[in-house]
Amino acid sequence: MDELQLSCYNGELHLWGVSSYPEEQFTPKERLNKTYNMLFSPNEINYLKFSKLEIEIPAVKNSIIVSDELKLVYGQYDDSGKASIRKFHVDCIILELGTIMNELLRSEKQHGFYFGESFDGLKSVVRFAYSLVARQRFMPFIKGNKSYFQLNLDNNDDFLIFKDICEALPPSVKPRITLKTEDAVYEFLENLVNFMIKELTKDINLEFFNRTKTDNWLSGFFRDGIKVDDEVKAGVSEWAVSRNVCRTHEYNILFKLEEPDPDREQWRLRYAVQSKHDLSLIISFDDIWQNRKKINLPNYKLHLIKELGMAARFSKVIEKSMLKPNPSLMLLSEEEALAFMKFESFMLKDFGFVVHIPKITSAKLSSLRVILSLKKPKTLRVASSSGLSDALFDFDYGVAIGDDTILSREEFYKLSSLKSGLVNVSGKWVELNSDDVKKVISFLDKKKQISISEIISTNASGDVDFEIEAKSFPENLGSCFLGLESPDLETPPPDFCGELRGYQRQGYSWLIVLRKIGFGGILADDMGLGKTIQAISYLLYLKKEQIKEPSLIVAPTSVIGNWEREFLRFAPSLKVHIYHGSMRKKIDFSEQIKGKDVIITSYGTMRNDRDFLAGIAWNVVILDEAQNIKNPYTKQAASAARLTARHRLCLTGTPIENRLSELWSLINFSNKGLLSSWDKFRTNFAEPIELNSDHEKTMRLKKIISPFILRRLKSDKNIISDLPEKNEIKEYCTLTEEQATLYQAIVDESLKKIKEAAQERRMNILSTIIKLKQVCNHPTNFLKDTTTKIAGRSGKLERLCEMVEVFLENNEKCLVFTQFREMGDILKQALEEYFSEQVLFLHGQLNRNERERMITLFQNERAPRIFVLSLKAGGFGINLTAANQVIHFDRWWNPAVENQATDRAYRIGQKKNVFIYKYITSGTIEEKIDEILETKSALSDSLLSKGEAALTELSDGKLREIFSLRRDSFS
Amino acid sequence: MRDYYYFPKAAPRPRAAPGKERKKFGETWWGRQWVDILSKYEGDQRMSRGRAYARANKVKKFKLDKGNISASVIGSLGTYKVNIAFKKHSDKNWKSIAEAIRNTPLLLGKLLNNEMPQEIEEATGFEFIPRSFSSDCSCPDYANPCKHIAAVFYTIADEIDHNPMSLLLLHGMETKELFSRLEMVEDAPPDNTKIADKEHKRKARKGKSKNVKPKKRKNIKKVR
Repeated sequence: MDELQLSCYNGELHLWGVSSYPEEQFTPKERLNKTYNMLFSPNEINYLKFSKLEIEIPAVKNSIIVSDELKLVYGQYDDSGKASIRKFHVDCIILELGTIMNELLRSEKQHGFYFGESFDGLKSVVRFAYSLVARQRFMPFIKGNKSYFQLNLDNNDDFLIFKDICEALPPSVKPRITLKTEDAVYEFLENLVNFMIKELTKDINLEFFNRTKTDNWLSGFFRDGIKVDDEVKAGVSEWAVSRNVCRTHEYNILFKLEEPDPDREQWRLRYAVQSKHDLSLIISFDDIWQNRKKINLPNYKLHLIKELGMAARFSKVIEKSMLKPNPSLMLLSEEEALAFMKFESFMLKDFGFVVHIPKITSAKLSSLRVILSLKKPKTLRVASSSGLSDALFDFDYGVAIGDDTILSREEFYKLSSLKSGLVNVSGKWVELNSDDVKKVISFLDKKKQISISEIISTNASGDVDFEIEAKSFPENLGSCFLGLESPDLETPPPDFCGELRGYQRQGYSWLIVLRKIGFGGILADDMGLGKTIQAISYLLYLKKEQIKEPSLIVAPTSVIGNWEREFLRFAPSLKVHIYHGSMRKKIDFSEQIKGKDVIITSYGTMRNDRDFLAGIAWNVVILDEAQNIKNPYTKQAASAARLTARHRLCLTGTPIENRLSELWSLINFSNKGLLSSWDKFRTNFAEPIELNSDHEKTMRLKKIISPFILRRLKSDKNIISDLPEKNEIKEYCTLTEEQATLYQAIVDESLKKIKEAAQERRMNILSTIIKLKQVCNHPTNFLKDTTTKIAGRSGKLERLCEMVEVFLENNEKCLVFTQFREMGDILKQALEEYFSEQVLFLHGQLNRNERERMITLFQNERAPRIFVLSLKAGGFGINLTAANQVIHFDRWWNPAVENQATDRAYRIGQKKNVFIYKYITSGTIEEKIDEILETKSALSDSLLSKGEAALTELSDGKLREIFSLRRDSFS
Repeated sequence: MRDYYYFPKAAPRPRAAPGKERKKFGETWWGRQWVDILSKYEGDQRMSRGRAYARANKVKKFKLDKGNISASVIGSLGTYKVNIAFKKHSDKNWKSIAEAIRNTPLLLGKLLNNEMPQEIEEATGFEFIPRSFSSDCSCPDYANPCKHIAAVFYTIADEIDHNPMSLLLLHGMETKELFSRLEMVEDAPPDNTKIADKEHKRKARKGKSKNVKPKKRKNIKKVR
């Protein structure tokens, strides 16, 4: 694990990392390069600017003092002792300004590293640079003999933001401990802003800047390599002073607008001086003119008048006040006050004045909420295919301003005719733009009727700046919509073989309500809460509703078998057809699916056969592990979007709210049009939220989507009360082509051997079982070909990676048990490679000290989070309650042994619910033995008591049956 | 090294490319006023020729002094010397102007920001846009204004657009000097403001405190 850091040096950003590996302090060059390629669009190694950064960091003896976060995750840090500042030479990559501008903000945390404080802090700096450029907060100037924009932090808000950002940055952000953070960051910020402007103006024509020396200076802002003439340089310096911008005084001029109170009818504007460093230190102009107070500036009275003279450029009121000596207070009419608040104050702020306006007076269009009360028209027809979402309603409306003041339609109309937009709404001053009022009215007056989906999509489109909200529904429909939040619990159909837990019934009912009102949805429950069961019960419900079209389930290849089995177990009355693999036939497809209720296919097949699958009218399309379409640009996502269905659902266990492109893609599949196009969504929501952390937009988006996403967490108390503390889940995996071939070869050879050599029968059978189990685990487990690549060769391993990925996302730790020592090594290597983080492996060859160290590390620190254990060595005695996910990668067939292993996590001290996944490879000996155990026969008893040895007593024919591979079960 | 109240020079402005945009004279209100005054010569061909000269940068060695402007204009047959004399305000008048400026913060505030306040003539009672002047040119043309004088007229418009404080100079006053007459320059108070306050009150009771001559100090505005 690396903690990535950024440092500002010479106006450039240096990327380096603190390593958690005990043998190194800093991330070495190679890994830094790898990390760089994960973070940013790949850059040819020749173009990467590697460098050595000489940086001063607090250290104890020779080891640096790491961040609390890193200390929390890894135990090996010991920083007791005398700390001193030491110089280190650290490998680093100098980031290109283009990369910083375009990619830094989008960089996401991935396995193997996380962002240190300086990384997140400098992201804010980049965000701030964008903001400065967008608002043109810079002034043409000179640096050396080049044109250079100087930052204009005159606006006190900017100044304070800059100060806050710098204060939050760790000392390592600058290479010398003695440098001021502000200076280092300022230099970088200014450099970045200059670069951004050059980038953004790349395409403009500079032909008209070609005559004078001044033109030369001006064109230098947009192109590189232009020298500024000395004469111009002198002129620019003088001019910069004359503009009186980019000031660096200790004081701000403060204009404070006070609203009328009962004693005085008029608005008042007061002038004062405010210290930049102590915002509470305010001296009124009156005190200064009357010589009661002074400020620590040379010629301060002249200074104040100069500042006022500048303010007078932007404010009529201030200009007026200066006609008399010693201006300090101004009385304003309502129009003047409004003009001051609406326009003048913004100009003043931009030019470095501090303006205080009463808060309650600013009401933007975006804070208007139009509250619709829907009425059922006489002719309401609900089309069965689309449900209620497209039904048209008559409506009446009111408008809410601010928190809870609701104006009726008539009152609102009255406002539109008022000239002054300043209205006193129930005791509060609210400024309303009459244009805004007209916009709202014209939008709603145009419409006679409106549908629910229109309301939602209008809000999401950004076409209107206000928010529309449907509050009251016609009585009989209201229950449906409210039902999304707390649906009436439905009982699953009688032929559902199993039982739904309370929250699962809720999910099941939610799916039914969604269908009734015509919306798709995303079931995003945590892994292990039974999304599959909820979906199956819902499909069974549809069967009862006499719907003839089949439904389609798209799932990753590795879980197709799982689905099939769950259908068999919970809904045997549903006819399921698997459309997948090279054996599938496209011809006579309609024949194939005739009478079938559910078709299961894989993402790959869906993509390849998209034209053909899109031509079929599906009842429900369900995307399992829907994060597979998270990238809206992929063929996979496009193919999914093309499927036609009455109802579209996504199932996913990953938290989707945090990645807006993924969220958009999933919603776009389940409720097309709800979030408008990706481009629109990006400008309306994704960028404001991701780049500016726009709280208002975040809340608005949440409001729009929340009815259509159901996500229950395992940590939720309501769910826990519903769950047993231990959940055993059989996870069915598939074989890869290579595994299947090996498996078949072993079976053929050993059956022959067993037949021939009767005296060694017992031994042969046992060794065959072991070989087969090894192949099911991983080809390398059997072949011992440790030098070749590991990934992509085992169905089980693929599934393991998928599942562990979700665990890690949810910050859960897991145990992986295997009975083969070699398999443990393979797992450790594969998982470390896949997740780039440390994986522990406990096996018999380790001495007690090593084991103890691993266990304390795993129990007490945030990472490592994955613990591989050999069943024999780690199966008893130890306490690993930090994990709540347990995976049995292969089976011992003896529940007592397996439970004992499971109990490492499921024991006193466990605070979470424990989930146990037992991996079974479909179609192989693993599945067959599992089936035997389920039957409670004599054989199963003997298996339980004797273990695999029980199989040696079987006849050749029986053995053949158990060993042989069911061919339909691999991908 | 400048005094805090130093009046800065004109800003360099980008010049319009040939054929793209014709240079305008009189972009500020005071520049426009001056151009308006010139309009009394309207209709004279020499004025438009002069404007073309000014646009083509034919006016060289343009020099401003108290109440006087001199320049060389490159004509078709040679270079001619142009001299324009303006009516200066008397010292007494300047005193009363300074008084008016001191009592009207708007005038002072705008002047400090390198702007000519629109109210200045009304508030002081004196002219600041020159209306009476006499001109002279070394060219053979007997008419006045000749095109060379006209060219200088327009160059004046350009000059005062960029540097309104030259209007003060044309009326016989250096800006620095004017400001010393305002008698508003004070020393910064010592750090201990309480003592300073007391002392100030004491002085205030005694009567008007005499202002000290301004000391040269470093320009406090640092340009990053």
